[in-house]
Amino acid sequence: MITIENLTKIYSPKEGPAVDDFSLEIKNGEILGFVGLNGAGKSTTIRISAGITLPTSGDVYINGKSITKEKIEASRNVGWVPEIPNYEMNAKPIPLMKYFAGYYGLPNDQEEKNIRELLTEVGLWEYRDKKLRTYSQGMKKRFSLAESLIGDPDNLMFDETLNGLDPEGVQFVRQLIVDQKKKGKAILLSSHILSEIEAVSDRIAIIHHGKLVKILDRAELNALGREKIVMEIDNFDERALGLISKYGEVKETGNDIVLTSLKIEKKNYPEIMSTLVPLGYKVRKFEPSGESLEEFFFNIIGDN
Amino acid sequence: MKPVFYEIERSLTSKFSIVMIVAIIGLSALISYEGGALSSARSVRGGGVSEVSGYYTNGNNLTLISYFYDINGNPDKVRVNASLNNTLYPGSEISAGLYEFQIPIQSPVSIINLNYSYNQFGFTSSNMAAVTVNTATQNSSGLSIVPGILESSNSSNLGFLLFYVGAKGNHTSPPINVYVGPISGEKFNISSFIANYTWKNQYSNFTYLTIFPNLGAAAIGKSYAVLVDSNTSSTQHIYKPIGPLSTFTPYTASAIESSFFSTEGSLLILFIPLLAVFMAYFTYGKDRVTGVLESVIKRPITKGEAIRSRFLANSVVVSASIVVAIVVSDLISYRYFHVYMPFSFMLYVSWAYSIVGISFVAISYFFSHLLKSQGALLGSLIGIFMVFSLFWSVIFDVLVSVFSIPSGTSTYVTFQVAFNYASPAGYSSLVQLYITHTLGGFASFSGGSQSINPLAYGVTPILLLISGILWVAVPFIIAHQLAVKRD
Repeated sequence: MITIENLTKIYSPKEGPAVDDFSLEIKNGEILGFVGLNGAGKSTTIRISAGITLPTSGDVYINGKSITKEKIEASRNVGWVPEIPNYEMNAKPIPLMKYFAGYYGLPNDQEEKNIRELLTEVGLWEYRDKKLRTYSQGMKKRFSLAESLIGDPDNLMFDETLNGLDPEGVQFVRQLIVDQKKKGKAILLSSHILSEIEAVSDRIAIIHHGKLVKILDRAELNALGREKIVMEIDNFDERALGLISKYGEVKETGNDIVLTSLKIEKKNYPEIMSTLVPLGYKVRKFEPSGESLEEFFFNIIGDN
Repeated sequence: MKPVFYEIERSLTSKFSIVMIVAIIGLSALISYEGGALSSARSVRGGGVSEVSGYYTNGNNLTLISYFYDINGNPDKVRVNASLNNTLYPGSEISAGLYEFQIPIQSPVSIINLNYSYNQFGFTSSNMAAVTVNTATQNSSGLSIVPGILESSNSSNLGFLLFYVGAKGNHTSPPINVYVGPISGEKFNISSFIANYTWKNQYSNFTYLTIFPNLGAAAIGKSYAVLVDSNTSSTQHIYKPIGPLSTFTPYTASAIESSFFSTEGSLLILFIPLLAVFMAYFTYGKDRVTGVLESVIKRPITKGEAIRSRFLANSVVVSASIVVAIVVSDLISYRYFHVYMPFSFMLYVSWAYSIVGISFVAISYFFSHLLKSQGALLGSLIGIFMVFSLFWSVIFDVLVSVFSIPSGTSTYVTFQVAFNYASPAGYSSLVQLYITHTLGGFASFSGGSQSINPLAYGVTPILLLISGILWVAVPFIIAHQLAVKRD
């Protein structure tokens, strides 16, 4: 379990806090999607949780151990997969993983067994004799996944890990994340690919300007967001705009008129048609639908 | 695997480290070799292989016996052929250094050429000697005396070699008396000589024998002769002038120490900081500024342990390189001078150059936490190396010129000592001053041969210890605190 408590990080007093009194809990056996714009504070939160960056105040607890005060015990139970894998590029995977494994105090035979299994699992075993500098970006990410699991940590954090992966890579990482969840691990998944987040997350935390804006649980995700109606109306004019504005916010997108923030109940949608058609407006399209996570995200970010 | 072993291996096996370590050890070895091979000290076991030959005949068959020896008269292994009238006769080794040739002869006087080659310090050298055999007068050569044999540990160069080949292959000498005494002029009077000899001894049953009579300082500057007679007959005399005797001081540990600072020391003071700075950059600084170190810090390790572990690995490799270079240099030096560096001296210089190297590692770690880009860091470290190691002597020279401090004065020495204290690269010069009472290294004192009392200039063991520890500890502790307290 990862518990983030009142975390604040100020890089420079001249700028605002990168993370501002942020609290969050990722439970065992849960995937928590972590979304926010660039600079929202996602990576800072993850880097602090991984023990890389020091918080200005607050703390992160990994299985109850403080990452700042009990770093060794805390780090033993957290794996971090960064967005850009960054290793000693002249190294070969096995010696480097043995070096990393050395920090977890594994017996030699266990160490070798783990390394073989992990490299096989991520599909790099046949490339084990090649230096990391010869690996493609995707292979480096796979290596990053493998080395993050070397100590079999209870908690995992993926920071934009899906970026730059081909569809097969995305599918592979998604499956790996789901498999780790099934083992009862707490997983923090940060990504810009909101559809992936939506697909695998049990909850989603939205961060903006360093603050936690919203946490969506699975039920909310399933019935995500506010309803909208997409219409196509011939001869749409100011009068028509005035007529439908009383039902919600009107946005024109190409030929489409999108009605959001609806002020009318679903059962009364035909009333909109009844208002327009008698006045000679031809409604070619009338499509009520739910809001996507992306739309919801931008709406809520906009609200903040 | 213990992470620190990986870090030591990484420090040791990066391409730059390999090149630098090979350069440090290889150049130290070459400098020692050069120092030994070119030394004029008479204790040096340099020079080539010489020969002395004797013979006996049986009808028209000549048996030539040759003894091959080094400058100290010790037997040497060679590959040798004898040739007479363009016919080659291979030699067979009958014992160490002794080779025998069976040669049919047509005339009483023959000139036999010996072509021999030998290995010396890994190289093959060839030589040729002409042996004149006159069987008309003697059917065996008997006793030969070869002067100019050096004994490495003696205080005299009056060594000589006796070599005996008797009739019918009897290679052991009959009992003989050997006299050594002064001679003057070219006239040699046996009875007078025997009456005034200063050294005598009896020998028998040898084929070859090296003798180093200890005549003492009273014999310096005088010519001596060696005379041999049979102690069973008063009619057989053979003499050969040797000398004059000149006493020499054997190559001492003190000479080795001074030589070390002026040769290997100059090399180490250039290469060790270079190795240290770049090793620290490649294994720590670069990893830190590029974020590679994060792949380690995320493990169950504190940031303090991460920096300490790499610093330890770098320090071990730098110190080990220094120790190996010094030991290799000492072994090669011993090959020529027969004197090992005193163990205490090896400890002192290992300590001194290790402090120099580790200080540069520590300073590099410190700068790794001040700068955030690879280029800025690398540039700064090269600058540190150039200022503290390369141009420190230039800065010193400029300053003494600006302040018009005359060379060789007490002020000059004080200033130089202060300057050495002010640079990590100057530490070895301070240790040199403490050990040899001379100043050298990167800012050599123009009156370098003048003895300086180190204590009078603040070069004491305590201050040296404190200075060394401070040069290592201060930059490293600051780097350590920055690593722990800052992102």
